[in-house]
Amino acid sequence: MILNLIKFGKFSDKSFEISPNITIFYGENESGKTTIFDALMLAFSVHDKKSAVHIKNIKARYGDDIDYNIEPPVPANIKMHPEAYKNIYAIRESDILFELTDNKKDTKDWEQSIKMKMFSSDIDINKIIAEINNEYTGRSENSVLKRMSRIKTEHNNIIDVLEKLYVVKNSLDIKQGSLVSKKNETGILDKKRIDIENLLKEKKSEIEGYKKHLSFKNKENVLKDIDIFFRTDQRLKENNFLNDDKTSELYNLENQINENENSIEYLRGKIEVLETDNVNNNKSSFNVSSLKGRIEDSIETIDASLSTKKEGGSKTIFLSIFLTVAAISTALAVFTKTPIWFLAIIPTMPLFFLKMNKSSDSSKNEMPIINNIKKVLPELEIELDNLHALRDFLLKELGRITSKNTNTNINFGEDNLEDMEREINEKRENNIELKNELKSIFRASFVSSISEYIKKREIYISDYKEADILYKKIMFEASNVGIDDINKFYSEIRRNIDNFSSEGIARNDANEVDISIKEREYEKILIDYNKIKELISGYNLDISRLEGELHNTNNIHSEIIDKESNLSKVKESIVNEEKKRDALMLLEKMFGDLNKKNDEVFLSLSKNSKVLYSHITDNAQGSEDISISGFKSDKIIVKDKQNEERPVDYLSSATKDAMYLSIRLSVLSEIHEHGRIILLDDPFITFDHNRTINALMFLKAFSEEKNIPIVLFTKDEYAKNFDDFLIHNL
Amino acid sequence: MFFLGDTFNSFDDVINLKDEFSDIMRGINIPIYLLKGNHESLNNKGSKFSDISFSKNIFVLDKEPLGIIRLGDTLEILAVPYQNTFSSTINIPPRRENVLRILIAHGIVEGTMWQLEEDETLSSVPIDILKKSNADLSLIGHIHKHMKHNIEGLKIVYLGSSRVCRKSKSERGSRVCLSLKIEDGNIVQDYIKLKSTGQYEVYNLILDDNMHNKIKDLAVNWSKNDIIDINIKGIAENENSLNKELEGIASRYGKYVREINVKSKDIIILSSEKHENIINEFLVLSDEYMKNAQSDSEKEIIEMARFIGLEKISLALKSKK
Repeated sequence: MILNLIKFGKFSDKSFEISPNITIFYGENESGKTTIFDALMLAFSVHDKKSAVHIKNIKARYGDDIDYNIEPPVPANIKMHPEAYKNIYAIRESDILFELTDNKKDTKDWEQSIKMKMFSSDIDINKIIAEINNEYTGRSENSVLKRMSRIKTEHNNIIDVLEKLYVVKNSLDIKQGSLVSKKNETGILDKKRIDIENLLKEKKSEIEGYKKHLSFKNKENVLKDIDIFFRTDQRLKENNFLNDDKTSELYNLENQINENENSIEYLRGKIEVLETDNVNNNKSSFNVSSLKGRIEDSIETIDASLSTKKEGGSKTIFLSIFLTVAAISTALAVFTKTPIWFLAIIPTMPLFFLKMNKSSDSSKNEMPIINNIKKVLPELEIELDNLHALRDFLLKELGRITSKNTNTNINFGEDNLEDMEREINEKRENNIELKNELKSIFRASFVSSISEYIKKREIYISDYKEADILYKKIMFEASNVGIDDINKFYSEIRRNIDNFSSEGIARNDANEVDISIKEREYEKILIDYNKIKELISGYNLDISRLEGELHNTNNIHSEIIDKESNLSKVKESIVNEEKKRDALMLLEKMFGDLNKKNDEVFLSLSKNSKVLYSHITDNAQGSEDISISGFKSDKIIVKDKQNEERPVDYLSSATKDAMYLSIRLSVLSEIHEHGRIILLDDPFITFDHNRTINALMFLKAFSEEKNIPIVLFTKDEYAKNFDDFLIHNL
Repeated sequence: MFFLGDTFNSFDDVINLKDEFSDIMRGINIPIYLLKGNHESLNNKGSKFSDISFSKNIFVLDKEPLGIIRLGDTLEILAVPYQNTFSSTINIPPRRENVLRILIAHGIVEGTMWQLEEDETLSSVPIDILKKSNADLSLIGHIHKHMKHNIEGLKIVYLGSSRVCRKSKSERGSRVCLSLKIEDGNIVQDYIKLKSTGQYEVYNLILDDNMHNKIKDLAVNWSKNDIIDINIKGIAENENSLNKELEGIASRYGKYVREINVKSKDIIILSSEKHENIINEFLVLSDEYMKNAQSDSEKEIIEMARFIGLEKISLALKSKK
């Protein structure tokens, strides 16, 4: 390889051969080492937009008109960004102390570039692996493990619910069977019930028919009662004059008339005697005194007889006493079960016989007395058969005799007769008035005698009482239907009867007894009916309960399908989670694979750096045994022989430089692409002589082994001692 | 021909479309049986499906709890229409000797563990009816996906929907109708794919150089009534160019299907990192795993791992930025 510097800094038309192994540019300061370094850098750099700024910076030191080339030309595919080339292939004195992370501009870029070249990326794959592992095994709520646990709990819960639903569903069969049988039995019973119900209806209708007939009859009876009442009431109204009792008044009038008549008879008798005496003076030969005495005795007998009649009332009292005593003694005998009480009746027995000695008919009893009186008073020629009339007659006779007797002792003249005549006339006139009054009452009462009046009034009173009872009875019936007026009630009854007639209800012979018999029959059937109804009601309750239960479980199929759907979804979720878990596990493995490659790079890097370091430090046994062990927070971590890890910064300057050089070379050995060259600008400045020699020897071996050309820029003279190197003295 | 329910979307549709439907069916000139589905009960306002007058060759099966159709001396069909609640005392007549029996029903059968979807109406069929029916085959309508089940020896077939109604998992897969034949006293089933009805498919693809070839390969099987969803995952460099690319796919294939939706919600936009070695190396590694995969389930896991891995790398790269 030839570097032609046609015009570049202090060089013009100057060519430098670059060995495939070690090329050394030796020279003092300002001899042109950096110019050649930069020319090579530019030759191996990409010249594009991205690199323009960096290219411009390099060129700025030499002017825009620089002209250079390299033979053979560098292929485009191995050219790099100038900064990347500088940081990887071009190691300057000032850069030898590089760290993978510092604040220098663009360091991160090349660091990434290294990582990207060396590893898959500069992202922390271990971190991703940890994340993935945590995602399926971790304790976070969102980890697959936790989600699986939750889903499995849900799964078990659904299975529990489903099992219960299945149990309920299975019990449906039994319930359905029971329901069917109950419904069948109920159907049979119901048929029976309907039959009995019809029978009951029939009976009821019969009874109602009977009752209606009865009601019809009752109503007709009520109507009859009302008719009777109306008629009686009418009669009462017509005989309203009988309302005031005139009986006493009539009797008074009659008595007064009778008394007047008696007085007239007496006076007439007296007058008659006086007139006869005047004609037949002293003609009387009978013994007046005797006659008077017998008449008075006869009147006494009559009075006695009439008073005996009144004694009938006393006999009734005696009989009442007898009967009372008999009843009490009987009751006591029965109550005390002591027959001796019957003896109490004995003392009252005579009273009973008094009753037994019935008085004969009054008219029959009067006749012997009248006959006796006729016998005692033959001269009076008595033809009367009534004691009262006889008494009046005897009184009249007594008046006559008394007058006759008096006349024998007292002189009486014309004045006495006139007085008596006047008195008779007065009495007569009075009687005429009284009789008129009597007649007037009779007329007003449409009767002709007191007895007729009394009879008529008795009828009136009887009518009145009957009407009163009827009215009360009718109004009681009326009040039952809420009517308080007899005429309205009559109309209502009439209407009812008309209705009955229009309904075609015929009268029959039904009576309360018939109804009672029918009702008893009805009751008997009703008992059977109620029993069946009770049975049906029981069955219906069972049916209703079963249907309720079955109705509640009607949705059980939907519920089961819903739960089964949930179960299926949960199962799918479990499968998905398992898939996700498997995918995460696989992903962990895949990232592990990627990491393994990184590990391999690290391993190789570490191994190389260790070897390189040993060579550089001439420590074949590796006494210091420092090796790269990895990156931590983007710092190179080295491991010493005690396997203790520490950042490379903590090493001594020479050790650190040796370490970096070995790392840099080992990195290059991993990422090198054929055609590129390594540029080292005074890399051993901190090394002592021996280490520098060792390092140079190692670089030679490295270049040959890896087939990487190395160009070394130095001002140390020792470099000139190596014959194997292509040395350019500047 | 038996329709296993939801032939119409609602009772209103039954009324509005009965004549048109009748005209078409009249032309077929064979007995058509329409089993009542839950959709035929929608907004029925108390009217019965069987009250609707269709052409003479259409017979509505809505007798609850079930109806029986005897087809010749060898086959009887028990028809269980959709019922809000099933009578607790369904009396299933005993199966006659030497007579094959098929039960048709509308709803979801217990035990088939169907996952209800959000807009899916729950319509159940008690499995006890199937058990008690003693049927040789149970054919069920209602859910849109065609599936077969065997529960305790019961052969249950969901015929699935004959058209794509929505974009959900139940619409995925091919649409079929079932042709039944009786041969030597056995029911022989023959499933006929109904390509013209379309189907719904979802594909998950990785945004890489191979994506377009994959879509091209998939598109070979698409038909004009299909609804296609493509979910693209991965890492893109530029959002605008990505959108253009996705739009390009949609417009290129849109004319071959009823609908195509290219979704890119799982794409992470990373401007330069796309070319990170880590991504390339990771994809190379996952491809190696995929090559060595022994089963589809293994491939699925690798695919998942690949998606998660890309996501993780993207996030790490983003956070580094």
